[in-house]
Amino acid sequence: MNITDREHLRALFTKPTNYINTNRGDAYYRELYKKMERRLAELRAQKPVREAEMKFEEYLKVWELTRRDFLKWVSATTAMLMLPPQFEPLVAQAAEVMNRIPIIWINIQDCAGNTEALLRSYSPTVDELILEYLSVEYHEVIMAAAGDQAEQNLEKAVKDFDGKYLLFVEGSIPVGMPEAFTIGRHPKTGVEHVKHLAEHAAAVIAVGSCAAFGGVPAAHPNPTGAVGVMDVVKGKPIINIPACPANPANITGVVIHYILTGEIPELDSLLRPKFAFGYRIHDNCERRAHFDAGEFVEEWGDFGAKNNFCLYKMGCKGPFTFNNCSIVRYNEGTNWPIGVGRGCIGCSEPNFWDVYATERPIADSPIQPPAGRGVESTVDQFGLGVLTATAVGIGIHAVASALAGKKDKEENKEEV
Amino acid sequence: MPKVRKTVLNRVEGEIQLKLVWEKGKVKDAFIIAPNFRGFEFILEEKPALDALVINPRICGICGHAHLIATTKAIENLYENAGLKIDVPKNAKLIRDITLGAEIIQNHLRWFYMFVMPDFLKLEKSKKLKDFEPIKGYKWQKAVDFSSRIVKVIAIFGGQWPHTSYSVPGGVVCDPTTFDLTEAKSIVDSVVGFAQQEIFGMDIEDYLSVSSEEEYLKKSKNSDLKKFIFMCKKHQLDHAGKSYHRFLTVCDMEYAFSKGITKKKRRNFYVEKVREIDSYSYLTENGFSFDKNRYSWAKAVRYNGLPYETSPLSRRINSREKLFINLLKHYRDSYMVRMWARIDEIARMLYAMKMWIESIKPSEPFYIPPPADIKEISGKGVGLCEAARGSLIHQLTVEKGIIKKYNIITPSTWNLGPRCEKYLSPAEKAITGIDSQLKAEMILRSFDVCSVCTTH
Repeated sequence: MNITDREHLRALFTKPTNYINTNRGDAYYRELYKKMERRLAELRAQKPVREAEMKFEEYLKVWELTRRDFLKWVSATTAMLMLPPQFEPLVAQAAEVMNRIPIIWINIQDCAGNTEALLRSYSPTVDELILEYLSVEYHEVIMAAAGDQAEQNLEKAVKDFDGKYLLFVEGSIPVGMPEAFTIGRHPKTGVEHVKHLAEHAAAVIAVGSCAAFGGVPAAHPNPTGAVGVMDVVKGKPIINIPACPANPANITGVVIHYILTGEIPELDSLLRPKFAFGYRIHDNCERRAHFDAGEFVEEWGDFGAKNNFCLYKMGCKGPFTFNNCSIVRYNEGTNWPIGVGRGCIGCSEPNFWDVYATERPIADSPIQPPAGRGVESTVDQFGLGVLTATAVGIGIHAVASALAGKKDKEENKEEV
Repeated sequence: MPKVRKTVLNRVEGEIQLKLVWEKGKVKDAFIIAPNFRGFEFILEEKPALDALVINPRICGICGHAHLIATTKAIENLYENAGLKIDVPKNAKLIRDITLGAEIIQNHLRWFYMFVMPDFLKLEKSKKLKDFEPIKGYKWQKAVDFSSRIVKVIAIFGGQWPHTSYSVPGGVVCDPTTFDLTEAKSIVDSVVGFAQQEIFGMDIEDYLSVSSEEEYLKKSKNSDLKKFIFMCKKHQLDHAGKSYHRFLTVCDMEYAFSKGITKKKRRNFYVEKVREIDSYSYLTENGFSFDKNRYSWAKAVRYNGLPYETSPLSRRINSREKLFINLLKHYRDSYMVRMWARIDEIARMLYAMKMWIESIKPSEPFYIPPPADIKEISGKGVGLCEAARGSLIHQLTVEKGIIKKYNIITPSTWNLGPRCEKYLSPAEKAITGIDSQLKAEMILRSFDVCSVCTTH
């Protein structure tokens, strides 16, 4: 059979996609609402991590943002976390107690691209929300202190917030060649650095494909033996937010979720939050209609390209890539690669550099999309279905339940 | 025994370290250590040539777009050398220039307000500068805001920033409408407003006709550039931080700058005269070496055997801009002049971007298919591009569409690489003779440190 045959393609991609339970019934949400309220009250009762507190309202004012801008963001974030609209007040309150959560952000074998994306994030951006209001105790790119002073700040933060801070890691870790990354006056290797900081963290969040799966540095022949955080850190809850760069909306989403619940969100087998990585690019792609109609770009600049036809034949990996770019987009929702006709490169999937990257249309490529089970696999099916990490409650005031249902199947059904 | 002090400078991404050797209160020798390595050149080997378009922008989260342009040009040059020249449509060239311009502007804005001004906060400790305080200061926030705004221009044409891959051999994949162009133009205009009001204190076109320091100080209203000049003078940074007084620029950009090398006189640039020397690098011809005298993952780069500075200042000098020729006569290539050239480029790029956007004709093509499939192409190609920090060179060797060798020389390798047997790197040279640690760091930062590009 010709794999680019229209009927064949249609059959492939019109199968039911991932099942994500976005309606768990009134009783479940009522209970969840109460739990979140309690959690927020506890956080509000705490002192902010930093002494000099500026009210959230004041921050908005400084940044010339109106309450309306903020509420727009609240709606978007609530929807992204797959919560019903009545949770919006809670999400708004969560943003306001963000300064109770200490953050340490480190860079290993990186390009600073995720930090860059973050600084260009949604409005009211992480410029306000994370960078400003969230207590970033240490960040190698944006902080003012340098050199020894910075090292002392880091050690102090680790001591002061032992077991309480969220550790964000950007960049892969060169296990095979420790010399490829060293840091500090008494040089520490990347592995030592990450292990040490993870040991004292509440949870570790790997930002970007490098920190999640090794990313570009791990591409064949992996000259430095680079791996992701989950291959180095054991015994701590880990959340992967892959993509190159990671979408800032997903980073904020994870933090808001943590604030609301004290837990990490429901994850897929690759430890990615399901709220962000539960659907394929293809499922919500603006060019999907052209795919279904069999209208494809055959060459850059052709009639199809001018009319925004489907990019599948140009090597777009949207059908095999789990991410929410098609909804959230980049640079404050300005655009995304498919929007300019470049096609998806599958950057939130492991090893995409070697198997997914660029010009090879899947149609005539030897690769097996998601974990060898074909494109109809859902996010849960590929991989081992390990959801154990989600069951680990983290943080100082962990409350019992999380948003999108912990042990998906049995428990939630009972609650409903 | 001279006192050896090692300072870790970590305010830019990655971990560039500065080791200083002191004698009689002055820096006798300086080592710029780049300890972070990923191995892009090895990863690219044996991959399909077009994969480089997606892999290379990931070298850097700040100037990745320049890597995309250099890669595209290298592959186009490969076709040309194989006798199959691609006539890239004018529209595509303009779009590439516009997006590159946007990246340069965002970089300079961020760099000036997030890295340079905080240094003066440490020097001055005065309340007058509280607007420049990181995170809290009004100007700091404005700068972050506007540097985010200008990259939306890249998002309009390139889909996302950082890490876009929309430029391909033969043109660009986007096909912007008049609406897209208008949107881009309005963003540029808003940044022009910010630059006029905050940075230059005068109309941009008037600023571009300024030919001397006195003229600028007289004509401009209160502005950040003016403040910066006064502070440099107050702290003797107007004459400190001199390097070799040699400048290199590898390509032209209409309305913005022209290529060339300037030693005493300006000459043409020939890529054949560029050499990399690995005697102090961990990376050698025959693999890795961690001998004691080696101290950086970067290699030294020399043109005709000599170290050259490549930077916005080099672009101003090679374009024979009157203002900078005059500044150079008076101050030589000092901290203040090097910095001023970067700030100056914000105005020049904004002006050029407006011209470029107006020159686009949406009805004409943005892409022309290359005359042959890449799988049929063998040979060598060179891609030259001017990035935010200076000259970027990509060289590749391809056999039947598969990369056999890839070499990347970044601006930071020119400026911040290690020494060779004969010469210190331009930044190392600029730091020697300085009498304080903070100033040594500041002078290093005047080269706009980017450690991930230095080593890649």
